[in-house]
Amino acid sequence: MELILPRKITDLLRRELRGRRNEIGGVIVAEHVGGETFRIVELSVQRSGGTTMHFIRDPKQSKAFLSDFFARTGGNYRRFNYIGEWHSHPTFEPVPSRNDIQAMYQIVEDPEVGANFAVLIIVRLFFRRSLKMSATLFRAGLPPERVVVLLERKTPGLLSRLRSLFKK
Amino acid sequence: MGTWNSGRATKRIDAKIDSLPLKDIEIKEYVRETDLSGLSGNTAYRVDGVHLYADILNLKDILNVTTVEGETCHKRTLRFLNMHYRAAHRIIGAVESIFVDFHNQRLHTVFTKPYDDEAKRVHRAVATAQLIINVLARTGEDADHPAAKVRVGIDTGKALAVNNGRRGHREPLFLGRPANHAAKRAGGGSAQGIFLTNEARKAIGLAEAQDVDKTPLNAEEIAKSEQAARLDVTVDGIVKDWAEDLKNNPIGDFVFSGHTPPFSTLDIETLSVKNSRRQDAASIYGDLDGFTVYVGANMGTDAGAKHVVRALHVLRSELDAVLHEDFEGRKIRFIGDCIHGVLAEGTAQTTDAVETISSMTLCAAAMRSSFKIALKRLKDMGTDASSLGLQIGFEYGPITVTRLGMKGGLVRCAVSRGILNSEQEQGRCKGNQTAIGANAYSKSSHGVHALFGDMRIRGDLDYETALNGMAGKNDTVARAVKTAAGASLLKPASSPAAPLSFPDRPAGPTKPGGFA
Repeated sequence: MELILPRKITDLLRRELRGRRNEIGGVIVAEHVGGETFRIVELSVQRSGGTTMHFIRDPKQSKAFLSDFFARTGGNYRRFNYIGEWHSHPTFEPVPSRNDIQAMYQIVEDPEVGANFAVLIIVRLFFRRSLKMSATLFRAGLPPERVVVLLERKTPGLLSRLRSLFKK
Repeated sequence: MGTWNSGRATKRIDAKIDSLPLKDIEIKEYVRETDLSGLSGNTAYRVDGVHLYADILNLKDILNVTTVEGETCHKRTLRFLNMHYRAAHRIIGAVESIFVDFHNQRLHTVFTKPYDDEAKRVHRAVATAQLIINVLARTGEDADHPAAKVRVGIDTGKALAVNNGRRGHREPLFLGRPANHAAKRAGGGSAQGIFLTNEARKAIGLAEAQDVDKTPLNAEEIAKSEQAARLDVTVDGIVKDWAEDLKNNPIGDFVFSGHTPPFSTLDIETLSVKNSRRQDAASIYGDLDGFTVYVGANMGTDAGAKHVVRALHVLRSELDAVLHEDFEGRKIRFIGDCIHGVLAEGTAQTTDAVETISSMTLCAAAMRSSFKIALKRLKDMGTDASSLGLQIGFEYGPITVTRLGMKGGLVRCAVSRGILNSEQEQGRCKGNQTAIGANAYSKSSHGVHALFGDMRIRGDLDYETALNGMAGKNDTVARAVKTAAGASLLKPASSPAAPLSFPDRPAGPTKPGGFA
């Protein structure tokens, strides 16, 4: 599986993680680009409910975020849908803990969630700028798998677009 | 997250048995000037010697001087032990006995000289015991801790010396009655003094004692031994050398840091006073029950002794593998037929107590499962050690891990209230039992509580029993282990998975998600 990570998401994560000692997190929505490639569109940011070592995601907040997202994407669920969870590890390595693994299996095994797979992203900010992360795919009945994360190139600015036009 | 499975354990045990074919194990007689310091794993010597165990009785008092078991309490205890290791090291060097081990507050040394005179060896051991008592009393004079209160146990007879450990830890290990009984006399009570077994008493012409643990040598008997031994060292001489050594090589302040779990990555051989570890963790003792009797019954013949060597190495190595490879803990040391280890889950700064205790419970249960398989595989290969049992005790709390003693000869040391308690917990078990310490019990999950009950002890606790019992009571560690095992069982990793796609309906979590 490949997961495209737009720059606006990494910028958002950097901003949100800066100076925070407690874990924060939320849910992730994505676009199915084709095959096994998905592109993150947005993620919710829940700033409360975390300690230095734990994060409890509030279902009310995530439900409101998802309802709004589904409304904006016109109920095109095959293309735009919930893809998983994210949270930060401000004090230790951004890899899934035992609780994380268990929580993700509960999600993919819960028929009410309606997803046959889910991705868990864990992020940590180093020296206020450098973002370190892991992305893991969970499917019911299968062991966790590492997800390939592709950082989306920055949208060309006005100057570079003019340059490319000039070249043509 | 540690897991155990019988297939992996069986492969490991078979490989270890295969590496120790009986034809390659050599049993030799200990003769004049035999060097026991670099024994290979498949050589053992029958050694006729006098075993001395010196136990510092008031270590627990020093650990308990403060209500909270904080850094100061640990620094004081380690400094106390460090001073005594150094003093005892000088004594052993001066009296030419064989240094076996320091296990925290317990020193084990063996007298093989003079080779042809058992009585003189016992006299020499008694005189040395008195020297240790007198020197250790003096080493507390100017320090910030009380003088050591020492109880010494002495026995004499034939024991089997085998290699103990690897790398910098290749000191000999003595198996059999004299080593075991000397240790029992040293740990047989709270009264100070020198306690001889009836075999040792008989060797120097003393009358048999009704209760050897309550019959210390009197001043006259000690003086007689001192006279017969004529040690050419004095208390003043040892204390003077020791003080000079301390001046030239000051102990220095202990510097503690936490080790980022798992403990399996901790290299104990790099630790020192200035680089010690301290954090909350679980400590475990696993002791082979009935091993001394097994050694006694088999060491008389070469064939029997070979089976003893093979059984010891296979059983100990598998217990170590369960702790280290399956549960990512760390062995501190083998103490005879016993393993001492530590395990922690969490971070270097914050240990997750509940997870650590759950992991240690599964680890202890896995040790018993592996032990049963090892006994069976050994029997299939001709080594019948089925009379043996396994006593396991563990406890949770702050621990320290470091190396103490003389430069060039540092000895591993892991000490704390929890560590002493874990050894006591092991001591109250029978050969099929596992016990959990009071502190660990109070901090454990409902799953662990239910396993052990109010007596904090459980018979025949194997891996399946522990895993199912804990998972049934919602223990997070056990559930995660079961989920992971279920995931790999439901579909082989190589089977094709359904293509990833979104459902044609709004997906999303409906319940709170707990992450860590």
